[in-house]
Amino acid sequence: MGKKYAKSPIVEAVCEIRFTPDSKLDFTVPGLLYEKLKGEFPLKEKGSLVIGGDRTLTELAVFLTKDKNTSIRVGSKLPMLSIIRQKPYPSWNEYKPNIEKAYDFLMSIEDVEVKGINRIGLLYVNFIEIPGKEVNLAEYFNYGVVLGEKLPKGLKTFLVGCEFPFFEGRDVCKVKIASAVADKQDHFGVRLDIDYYLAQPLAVPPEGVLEWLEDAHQKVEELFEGCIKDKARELFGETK
Amino acid sequence: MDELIGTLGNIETAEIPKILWSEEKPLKRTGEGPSLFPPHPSELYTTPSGLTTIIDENYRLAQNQTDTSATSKIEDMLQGLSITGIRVPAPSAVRRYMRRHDDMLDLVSEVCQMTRGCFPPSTELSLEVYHDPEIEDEYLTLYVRQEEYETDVLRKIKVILSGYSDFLKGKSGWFLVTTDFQPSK
Repeated sequence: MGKKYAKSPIVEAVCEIRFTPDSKLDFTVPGLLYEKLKGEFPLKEKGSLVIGGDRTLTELAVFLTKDKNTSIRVGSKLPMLSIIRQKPYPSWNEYKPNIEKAYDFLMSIEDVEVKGINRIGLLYVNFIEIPGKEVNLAEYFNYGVVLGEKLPKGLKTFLVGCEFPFFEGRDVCKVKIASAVADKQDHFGVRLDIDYYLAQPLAVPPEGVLEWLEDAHQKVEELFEGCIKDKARELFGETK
Repeated sequence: MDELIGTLGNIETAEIPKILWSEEKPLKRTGEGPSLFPPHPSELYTTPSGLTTIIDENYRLAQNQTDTSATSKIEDMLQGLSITGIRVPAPSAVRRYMRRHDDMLDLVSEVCQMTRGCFPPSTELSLEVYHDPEIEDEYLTLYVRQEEYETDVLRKIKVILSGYSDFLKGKSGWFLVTTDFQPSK
């Protein structure tokens, strides 16, 4: 069980499941899924998505809760399912049931034929505002830029990213820390993205997705705690 | 970009920068015509130092990422604006707007970078959410401000507008590049 924070820095959590291209999620599937989800996700929108490296644009159906804080995106051209929680992030125990529900409902649709899982991603975007225009990041983080004695201490912008392999390379977690534009005056903004994903397509069967997510979440939590120091925890207001 | 090149008039080609990402990473709408700003070999990069490295790194990291995160992309955009010296005086308003209109992220980002390259570094560019007091409407505005206004500011803005206005069609929000003839803040 991870630590709890009164002022959680999580601004967005994303669970994204991409099925193999030969999976069958035809154009009727979003409508059928909506029928099952509309009690909790009554709002619907048309969404689009620019995919990674080649920046291909694809269309998605988007279903949202009334407060629009949680959304479910489903693609048929690009067979995928994504469950997104915007801030305020409640807890894994409250977020996970939405993932389970959407995934189980999708898999229960008769017309859906999932041949395999290409990628699963669990991403947490954290946004941290530290008082002061110039801050010593090393006081707050165990991860980031190392500045030698002869280098100036003030940073305007920075970006550090690492990829950590897990389970002999089956999974990878990309941890990125970067400067961000602060909302508050005289604060230094820092963004910490933790993107844990299945790096080997087909290594997890469709029935193993939810179990994989549980492991992924545990690793994300460990990495997050590994990245921050007590001074950062004080900002978030750790609750016992 | 073809339309943009077509309306250049007397503007030197070098005034219009190549859009970052345009060569390697064009915004591609499969089977729906040309990219937003396809590459033009005659153009020169006019990017502030450091930006290319950051964006290349972001691009590399983007090769295998969880793509449905709008927040991640919004923060990438804001970081890019900050590095290129584009002001965002009320970032929370821009974040809120972009979250509601995340289909506009690439367009806004690329037009901001293009506009940056069209004006000297002393020109202030400020990305703000404009609230229309008469009707309940709001949209993103990139203000071009100078201490002493060049005579061709409006002409340059017009060229920029003509370069991207077609790409606003079908988007959920609106984005305007303009000037209020106020001095830089």
